[in-house]
Amino acid sequence: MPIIELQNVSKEYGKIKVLQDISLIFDKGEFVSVVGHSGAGKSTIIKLLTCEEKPSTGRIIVAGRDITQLKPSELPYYRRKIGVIYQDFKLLPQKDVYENVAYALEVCDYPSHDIKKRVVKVLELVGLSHRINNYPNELSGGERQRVAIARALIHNPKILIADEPTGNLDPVNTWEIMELLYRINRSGTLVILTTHNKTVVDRLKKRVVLMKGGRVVSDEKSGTYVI
Amino acid sequence: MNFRSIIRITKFGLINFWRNRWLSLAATLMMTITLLIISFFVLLNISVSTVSDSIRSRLDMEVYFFNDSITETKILALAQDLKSQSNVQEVHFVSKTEAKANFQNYELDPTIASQITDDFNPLPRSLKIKVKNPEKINEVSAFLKQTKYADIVCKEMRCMTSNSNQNQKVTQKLISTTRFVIRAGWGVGIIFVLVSILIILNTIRLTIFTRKDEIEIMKLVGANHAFIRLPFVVESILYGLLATIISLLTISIAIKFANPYMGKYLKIVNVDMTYLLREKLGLIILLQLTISLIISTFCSFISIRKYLRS
Ligand SMILES: Nc1ncnc2c1ncn2[C@@H]1O[C@H](COP(=O)(O)OP(=O)(O)OP(=O)(O)O)[C@@H](O)[C@H]1O
Ligand SMILES: [Mg+2]
Repeated sequence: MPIIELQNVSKEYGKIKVLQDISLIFDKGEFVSVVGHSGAGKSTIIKLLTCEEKPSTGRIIVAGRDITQLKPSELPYYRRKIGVIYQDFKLLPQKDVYENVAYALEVCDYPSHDIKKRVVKVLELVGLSHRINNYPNELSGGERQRVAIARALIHNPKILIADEPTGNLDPVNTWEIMELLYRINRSGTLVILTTHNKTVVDRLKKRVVLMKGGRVVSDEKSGTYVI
Repeated sequence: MNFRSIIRITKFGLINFWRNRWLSLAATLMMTITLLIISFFVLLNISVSTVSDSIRSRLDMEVYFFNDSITETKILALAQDLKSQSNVQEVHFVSKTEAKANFQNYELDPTIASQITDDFNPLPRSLKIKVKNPEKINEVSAFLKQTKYADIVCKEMRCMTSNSNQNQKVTQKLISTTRFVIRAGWGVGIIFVLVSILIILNTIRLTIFTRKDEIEIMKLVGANHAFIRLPFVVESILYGLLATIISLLTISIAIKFANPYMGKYLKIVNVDMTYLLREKLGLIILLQLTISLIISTFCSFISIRKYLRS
C-alpha cells in the first residue's frame, strides 16, 4: 500500500522549472534511492515532502492526506511523524549534540527521563557517545552528519528521508551509515535516499529513481546507477 | 501548554540568554537606560511637586485674634464666611489649647515651653486658611479687609509673602516655573520613552534576526509556534527584570551621592531625596517592572512574528 504518492507534481521558481510532472509512489517498507546530477531536483522533492515548499501544481498524498493542504497549525504534527536528514544538516548551532537530538523529543513534550534514555541510545547507535557535549561547530562534517541522522531517527519514524546522508563521509563511514539505514528499513521504515554515490546505489540493489532536469527518466525495481 | 513545557521553555530562555550573553547584555543595557530616563522624569516630577506643594503651603494665610474678648461664635461665623469663598479650600480654627500645644511642640527650651499653662496663655486664637490658587491669595486678603470684620481681625499674616509685593511676585514666579518644569518634563520624558522603545525594539529584533536560521530549523523539527516563540519572550523578560534591578541600584546610589548637594540648594523647602525614594520605592519598582515587562514582551512578540509565518 502506498504511503507517499506524488501526483503530477511540478515546481517552478518564477520562470525556472525545477520539477516537471513528477508522479511517484512509495510503498511501506521500501528503500528508494533517488539519483541524478547536481541540480536535477532531488532536494526539491524532499523540500516538497517536508512542506518547506509547496508544489506549483499537483498533489502529494502522505498516509492518505494531501500535505499540500495542511494548515500551518497541523504542520508541526506532520513533521514530527517523519524523520529527515538534511543535506546541510540543519543542526541548531547554539545547542550541543545532546540538546540537538533531545530537542526533537522536547517539542513533542516527552518526559525528561524518557528523552535521556532515547538520546543516549540513539547517539550510541550512530557512534557519537563521546561527543555528547560538543557544539556543531566543534564537530567534523561526518560527525555532524551523524547528529543529523540521530535526530531523524529519534522518533522511530515510519518514513525516513535522507538527503545525501553520506556526502561527507569516507568509504568506511559511508558503509556504516548505509548499514544503519538498511537496518532501519528492514524494521519496516520507508527510506528515501538521495545520493550521487554510484557504489552505494550499485551495492544496495534496491529501487532507483533516476532524475534529469526535473523529470523522472527511469524508475527501476532493482536498479543500478546509470546516467 | 502543561507544566513540563513551561519549565522547558523557561529553561531554554535562560540558557539562550546566557549563550547569547553579549547581545543579551546590549539589550539589557538599552532597557536599563530607558528605565533610568523614565524614572528620572518621574522622580523629577515627584520632587518638583513636593517643592511646589511645600511652597504653596507656606502661602497659606493665618488670621490672628489677639483680643481674647472676641467670642468664639463670631470667629466661627467668620470661618463659615471664608469657606464660602471660591478660592478658599479649607479653614481651620486654632483654639488657645491647640495654640499652646503647637507652641510647646516647636519650642525646644523646656523652661520657656513650660511658661505657658492653661491659666497663663497669652497665645492668640487663629484661623488657618488654605487657598486653592495661591496666585489669587489677594482676593482672600481683600475679603478680610472688609469693614464688617474690622473689629475682630487683628492681624492677617501670610508666611513668606508677609504682605510684601516683592516677595509675592517671586513666589508666584516660582509656582509658574515649577508648573512649566512639570509639563516640560512630561513632554521630554514621553519623547525619550518613544525613542528608547524604538531602540529596544531594534535591539531585540537584531537578537532574533541573528537566529532566524535557528527558528527555521526548529520549525522543521516540528516545534509549534508557542514552543519557538516563548523562549525568546522569556529571554526578553529577563532583559526587563535585570534592567529593573540595575536601574534601581543606579538610582539609589546616585541619590545617595547627590542628596547632600541637593539639600544645599533646596534647603528652604527641605526635600530629602532618599526619603522621597524610600517613600515612593514601591511605586517606582512597580512602574519599572510594568514598563520593562510590557516593552520586552511586546517587542519580542513583534520581532519574532515575521519569522514564524511560513
Ligand atoms: N529558491 C530557489 N529559487 C530558484 N531556483 C531554485 C531554488 N531552489 C532550488 N532551485 C534550483 O532548482 C534546481 C534543483 O535544485 P535541487 O536542490 O533540487 O538539486 P539537487 O538535485 O538536490 O542537487 P544536488 O545534488 O547538488 O543537491 C537547481 O537548479 C536550483 O538552482
Ligand atoms: Mg540536493
